[in-house]
Formats: sequence, structure tokens, C-alpha cells
Amino acid sequence: MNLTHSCRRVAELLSQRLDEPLGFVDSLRLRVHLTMCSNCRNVEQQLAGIEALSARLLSSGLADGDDSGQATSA
Amino acid sequence: MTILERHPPDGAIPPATPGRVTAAPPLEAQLPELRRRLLRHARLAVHDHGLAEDLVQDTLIAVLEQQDKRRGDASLLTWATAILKHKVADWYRSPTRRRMVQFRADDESVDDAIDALYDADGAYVDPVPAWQQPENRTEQRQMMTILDRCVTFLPQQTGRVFLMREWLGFETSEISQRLGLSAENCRTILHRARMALRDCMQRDWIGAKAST
Repeated sequence: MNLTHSCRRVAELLSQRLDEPLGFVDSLRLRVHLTMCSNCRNVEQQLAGIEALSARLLSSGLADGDDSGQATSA
Repeated sequence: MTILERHPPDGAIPPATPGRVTAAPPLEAQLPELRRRLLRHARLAVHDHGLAEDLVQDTLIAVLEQQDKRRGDASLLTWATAILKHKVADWYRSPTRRRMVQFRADDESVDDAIDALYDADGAYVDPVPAWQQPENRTEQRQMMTILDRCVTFLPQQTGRVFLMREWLGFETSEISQRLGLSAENCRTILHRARMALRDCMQRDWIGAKAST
């Protein structure tokens, strides 16, 4: 058994973690992998950024501050 | 459509109602643009144009009826988007809604793009660069605009599941239930959506920035 997951599996778990709590073992292996792998840390940061930005984007309709009430292309 | 027919032609925006402190044009003048934006949003979330039109129409009626309840600090679009969100969520939760399970092959191109990231051992073929945070408000808005476009590029079914999660705020268990998906399938689709957005942002935001 591999001590840690592959990067591919880590990406799946990073995504899953945004939706539901991970099990103890997956969570532990994820943490171990992240400490050793800068690629996956960057993916973690990117997915988190996309998550935060998406939430803002989807709740505001479009880019923030772009709703001054001017019907530019009605 | 009846609402829009009452809207004056372009350029003939009526004077603001006396007593309104806001400088924004009157609500009715903003409806066509608002409708366009809401429709775009609704289509991403339901993928049935007729249904999207109906939900947006209901939303616009609610906007007109409840405009007094709108808090001053929420933009019209944000407020209307929140109303639309409830209407879309209600539709997904309505018992009469027919179950729709049509995950089509169009989603596979995304899988290919994900496959291409990894070697046979599941390690990244190319180093994953760190993304710089946007430096100022202009960059932040550019980033939002690009993400907006990336979301519309998602394959239909993938995009719909993503919006159910990230916009409607459904738990994955509820998405699975409403769409008749397995939990594993739902997880895979959400992961695919996020990786596709990552790929799109890498190309159109980070990549474009690097080349300027």
C-alpha cells in the first residue's frame, strides 16, 4: 500500500473536501502528501481560489461592481 | 414579455421618480439588461430554454412587485439573482418536476484534459505554477470576467451540477437525489468542473497575464 495518494487522487480529494468532510485516513494521507508536494499545494490554492471566486460571481450575477444600473447593451 | 413591452425604447429613459435618492435609472429601464443577465444565469442552471425563460419571468415579476423590500446597499442584479436562485432551487425541489438524467458524452473532452495533466503514476507531467493573487481591483474584475466565461464553457451537464452546488448551495447528497446520480458520479462531475475551471483560468487568466 502506498503511504500517500497520487497527485491525481489528491486533486480529487481536494475537490471532495470542498463538499463534504473526508474520512480520517484520506484526510491524513492528503495532509502528508501536501506537506511533500508543491504541485498539489498549488492545486489546493487554485481550487480554493476558484471556489471563493465562483461563489461571489454566481451570487452577484457577474463581475462585482459591474451593476451600476447602466443598461449598456439593452 | 408583457413587462418588456411596457419598457420605453432605447434612449427614451423616463426621468427618475421624484423622491428617489439613487442616481440609477428607474427600474423599468433596467429590465431588459437585467433580463438578459438573469437568463444567461438561469440557462446555466437548468438547460431548458423554455424553463429558464419562465423562471426569469417569474423573477422579474417578483422584482417589480417587491422592489420596496430591496435593501439599498444590494445592487439590483445581486438582489434579482438571489430571487432567481430561490426560484431555481424551488423548481429542483418541486415534487412535480420530472427527473432528468441526461449526462451526455459532451463531458468527455474535460476528462481528456484532466488525463493529460498526469502521467501513468498520477503525478503531474508539468510543474503546477502558483497563481498570483490579483493585484488590484481592476485585475480582480478581469479575473471575475474570465471566470464567468470559463463557467459558460463548461459542458452543459457539468455546468449544471456545478451551479447546483456553488450557486444554489445544494449538498452533494441532494444533487445526487435530484438528478438521480450516484454519490460517486456526482463527486466526479464536481471535480471535473473544478479542474476544467482551473485549466481555463490557467490558460485565459494566468497564461494571458504572463504573455503581456
